[in-house]
Amino acid sequence: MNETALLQNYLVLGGVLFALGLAGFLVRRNAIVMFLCAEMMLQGVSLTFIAWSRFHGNWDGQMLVVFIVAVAACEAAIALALILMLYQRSGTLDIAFWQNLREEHLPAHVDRRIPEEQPEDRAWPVLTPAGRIPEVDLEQISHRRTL
Amino acid sequence: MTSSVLCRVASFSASAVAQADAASSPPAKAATEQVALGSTLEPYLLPGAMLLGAIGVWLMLSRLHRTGRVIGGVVALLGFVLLGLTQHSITHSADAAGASYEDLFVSVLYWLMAGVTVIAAGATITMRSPVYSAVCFATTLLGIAGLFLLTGAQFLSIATVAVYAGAIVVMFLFVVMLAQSEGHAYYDRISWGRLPPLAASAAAALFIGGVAYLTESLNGLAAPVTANANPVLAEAHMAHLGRELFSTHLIAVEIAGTLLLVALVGAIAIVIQGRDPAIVRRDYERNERTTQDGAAQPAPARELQPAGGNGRE
Repeated sequence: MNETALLQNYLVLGGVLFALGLAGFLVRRNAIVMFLCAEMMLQGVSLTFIAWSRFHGNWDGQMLVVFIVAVAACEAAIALALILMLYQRSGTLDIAFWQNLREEHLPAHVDRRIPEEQPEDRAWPVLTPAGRIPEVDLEQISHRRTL
Repeated sequence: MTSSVLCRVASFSASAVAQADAASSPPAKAATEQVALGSTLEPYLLPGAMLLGAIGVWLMLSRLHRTGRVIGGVVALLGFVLLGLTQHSITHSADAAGASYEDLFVSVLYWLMAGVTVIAAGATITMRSPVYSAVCFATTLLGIAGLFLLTGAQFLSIATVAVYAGAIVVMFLFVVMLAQSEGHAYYDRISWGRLPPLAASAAAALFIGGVAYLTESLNGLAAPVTANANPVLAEAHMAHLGRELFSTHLIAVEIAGTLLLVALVGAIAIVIQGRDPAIVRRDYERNERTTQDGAAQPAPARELQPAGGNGRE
């Protein structure tokens, strides 16, 4: 294989992943999706590390990616705990809910127009039933607590 | 890659023409024609790819109708193909006479996995439901794991699948289903306004264009090691990696282990701290009362717990 061309291809691909993650992070407002986009930027960087590791024939790039994976796991645990806590406090994952944390002189973001949900987006995934339908015990149902 | 294929096709046809001309023309003519064809196409590919990519990502990200997003996806894919045309073939090596079947296989595999990775990445940032976003991100990770495998990082390939796609994405799905169980939310349909999607996609396209332009400067660079003498690609990959990890980077391993422990404790602490203070105080007082009165007095049952489920007794 052409090592230099391989390096170039991997660098460009890592750049593409980083840029897509960046665009998603800047545009999306769901806290979880923003965090996924940050992870994607991390993956783009990992790809470039691996490519350089192979190009130079030493292990340092791969070692860095090992630690990136470890740190990403820590980061995901902390960030998801934070997101869950913020959700319990605010009842929404919208990052704009926390815009009171902005600088003092900046104007508040106000949504001009919230588009209605399209009818085709209102479709939910359907699970195909598998196996036989269990027999319903009326006695059991009467004891079951209704929420 | 394909631009070099185009050039090769051009050189083949040029040489065929040359042979038809009773082999009179020197091979230099074919070479100049190849260069001429390549250089006429080459300057427009990268700006075109950037433009198409920016338009496509903008169409996908600005929260339009589904048709607009599909068109945006197609345009962005076209931009990615153009970007691929600007890249050099990973199999076309200078010392080999021509590409063997194995090289062709590797090349096809590379572009397959690159395509899967980028398409799934585009879907991750544009899907309206965070569940679909997480699933698409898992697909991206599978593509990345394949790319790791292709370039000789076998351990990291498996680690990516196991740790990322197996653990982190599943954790994401748990949180999505805990936090957003009521269905589609309005904030998945809108952005910060009209300008941010445009600016973000333009920034992304400029970044990609910059990276692709800068990597062109590596063109004449000879690799420090050949593929045969590369220690990363040598036999017993795991043994070498483990030796490197636990000798040169031993302190870093210890620090990473400590970090994992701290993150574990921190995540639990955050979740406990984040509860409603009234509930925390009530639980605390109840526990105090049960410890003072001994185990004789059963704790009052909480709403969603069976009686006596306090955990202290």
